[in-house]
Amino acid sequence: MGIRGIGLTYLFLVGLAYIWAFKRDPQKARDAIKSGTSSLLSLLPLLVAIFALVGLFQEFLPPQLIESVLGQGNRFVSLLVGGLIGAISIGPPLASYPIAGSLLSNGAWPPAVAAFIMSWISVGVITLPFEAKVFSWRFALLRNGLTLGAALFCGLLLGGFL
Amino acid sequence: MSRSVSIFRWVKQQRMLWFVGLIYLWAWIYAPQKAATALYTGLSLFFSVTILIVAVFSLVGLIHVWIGRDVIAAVLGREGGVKGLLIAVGCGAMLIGPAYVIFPLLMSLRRLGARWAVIAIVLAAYALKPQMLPIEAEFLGLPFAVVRGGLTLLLAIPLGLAVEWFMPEDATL
Repeated sequence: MGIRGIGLTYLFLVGLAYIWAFKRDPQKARDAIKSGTSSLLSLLPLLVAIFALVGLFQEFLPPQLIESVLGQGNRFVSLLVGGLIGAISIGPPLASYPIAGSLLSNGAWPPAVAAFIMSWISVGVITLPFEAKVFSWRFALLRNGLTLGAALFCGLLLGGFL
Repeated sequence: MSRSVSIFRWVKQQRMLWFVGLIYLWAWIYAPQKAATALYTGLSLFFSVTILIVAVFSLVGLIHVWIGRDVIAAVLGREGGVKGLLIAVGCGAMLIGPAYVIFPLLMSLRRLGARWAVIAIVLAAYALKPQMLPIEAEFLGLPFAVVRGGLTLLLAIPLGLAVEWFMPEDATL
């Protein structure tokens, strides 16, 4: 399912919830819309900035560059580099699989590839300011730092399993 | 306070927008064509997720107004115990859409009394991506995809508890 499909599915389900809410208590449903709108408006400028940054990264950090950096060198350095590149990359996981697949078939160390995927999906350096605005800098730095550590650890474990 | 003063204050507060604007300025000087493509890519991505953003923020409002603090605290707060943590793993694994769209949803749960571990566990289990497993297996092989998914699930709760351990419980959002 594409991102539009996911959006429409979410919207449909939330729409059903609102129909229920309006039947139950129209005033509360209106308050819910007001509350959601004010949350959205307060975070909108940051969201626009993050997406503009995503565009920059996709243009200036193309997959070919990731492949050329990750596909060579010392194993443990490549594990760390895999985790770090995954952390600064952004995009749907779907985009990370072909890159990881070609890395594996070109002889990259599997733990480094696993660390790359894990941190691609769950560590977000680009979205860090947004996460910090929502949850606080302490939470955002802790979560991303610990998750990056976990991605490297998982990479090593995965290498042991395969 | 006049309207223009409040608008000026609002514009001044948008530090991230200023920062990104400066990077674009630099990119524009260095490679104008690439900067234009980057802006186009970013904005089209933004418009492609607008429906999702609207849906999620509508849900944020609904949760905020409708679900009682006592319910969230009992299920996803410290009173929820292990059951609450397991629910967080399940929710994280099932959620779809970009992580940054999930943040406001989790923020509303935190404001209603969900514990920090629950928030961090949802975000950790979110990396499981069960709906993507066939595609991951196609590119990386089934053993790789299955072991990676298993490790993601196993580490979600320890990771969430570790984040919580370092967070002050009274930190408000």
